[in-house]
Amino acid sequence: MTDDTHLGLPVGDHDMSHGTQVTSVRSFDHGGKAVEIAATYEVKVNGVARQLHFSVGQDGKVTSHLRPYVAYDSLVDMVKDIIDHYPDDFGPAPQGGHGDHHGHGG
Amino acid sequence: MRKDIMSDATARADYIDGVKALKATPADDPRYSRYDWYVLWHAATMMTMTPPGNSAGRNAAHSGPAFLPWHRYYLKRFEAEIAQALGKPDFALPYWNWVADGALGETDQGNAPIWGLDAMGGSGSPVASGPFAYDPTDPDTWVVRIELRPSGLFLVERGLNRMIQQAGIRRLPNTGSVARTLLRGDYDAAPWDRSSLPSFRNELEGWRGEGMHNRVHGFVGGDMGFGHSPNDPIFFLHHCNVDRIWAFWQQRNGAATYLPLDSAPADLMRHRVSDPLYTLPGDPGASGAVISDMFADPSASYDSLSDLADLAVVV
Repeated sequence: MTDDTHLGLPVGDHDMSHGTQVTSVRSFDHGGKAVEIAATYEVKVNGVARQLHFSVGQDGKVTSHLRPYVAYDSLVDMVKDIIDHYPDDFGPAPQGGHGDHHGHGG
Repeated sequence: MRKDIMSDATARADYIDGVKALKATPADDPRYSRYDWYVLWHAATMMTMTPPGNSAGRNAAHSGPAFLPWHRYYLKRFEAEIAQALGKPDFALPYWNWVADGALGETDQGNAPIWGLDAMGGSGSPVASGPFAYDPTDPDTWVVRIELRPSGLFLVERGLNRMIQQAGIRRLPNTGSVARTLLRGDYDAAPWDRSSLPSFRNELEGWRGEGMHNRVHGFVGGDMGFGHSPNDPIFFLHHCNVDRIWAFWQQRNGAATYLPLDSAPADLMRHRVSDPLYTLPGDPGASGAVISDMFADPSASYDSLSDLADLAVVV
């Protein structure tokens, strides 16, 4: 994979230029009250913040155009799946790495 | 006339010859082919969020109302280019009737004739049998050139990956789910994304209901599960069947029942009825097509809609 050529992106209004932080705002009415849940996510792999092109929907499920036909129940599920499918895109594990932290829902 | 690929050996041979001819035709950028250009277009469309940064995951051709007209436009462009490459002006894209295969038993679905050596071939990483098998010693072998990764679009050289029934989805949409989708009367609904309900578009795309289009991508697996899914020639046969289902729905509900209208908010850019269909900058074949250009005369393009008509009265 290291010999592969990065093509760049021949489009003008894509989302690749956005940062690594993703902000989600979920709004709904409940019991006559207007509720807004705002959250900002940042995914780091081996300590490096990565742009994984995901969004968190109103139902809390997570989608990414890297796996465009799937809605994940959690961001953890999505990140694991993307790493499994693109292991070479994230580089080698660091010496004395961070280990596997379970239980952080998306 | 678009035909069931398994019912017509000539349509099947023309399709295989046609995609191979496009694969052998250099694009303006000679590093890849005209076939690969369609892969690039699909991947770039996937990355074009509408509007940029939206939290619904809606892009210029998926998770929103434009899903069906954009793919119809994409198929028409692809079909015309194959016709030209083959020198057969009457060439029509065939479709894979996965509705019929979905009525088979689970084991039979993975062994259906579409996966035969004289059709699309079988599974593998890379695919090892059929017309799209990978043999690095053969200069005419099927080579994947475009790959969408977390760090962007890459030029690669490898065989096609396909993992039928091995990506956690072992069954195609069943006839009951197709029937329920066909009976939806509303084309789409606010908030015009993957949470929309009731929405024929959203159920057919597969975010609501029982998976439909998304399920078929997962059933095939391998490259079909990614934004570069058109690398697998089954992609176009799959989407031709999706388009056939929309054509039948249009016949029942009216050709121009699309929503949202032009009066919808600007954040629905590229999804309102007169919005332009997304194509790559510099596309030499760009025609300025808009969504409403994709409504005309859909049902006459297909050899048969009768199987869908039978389903639509069962539920």
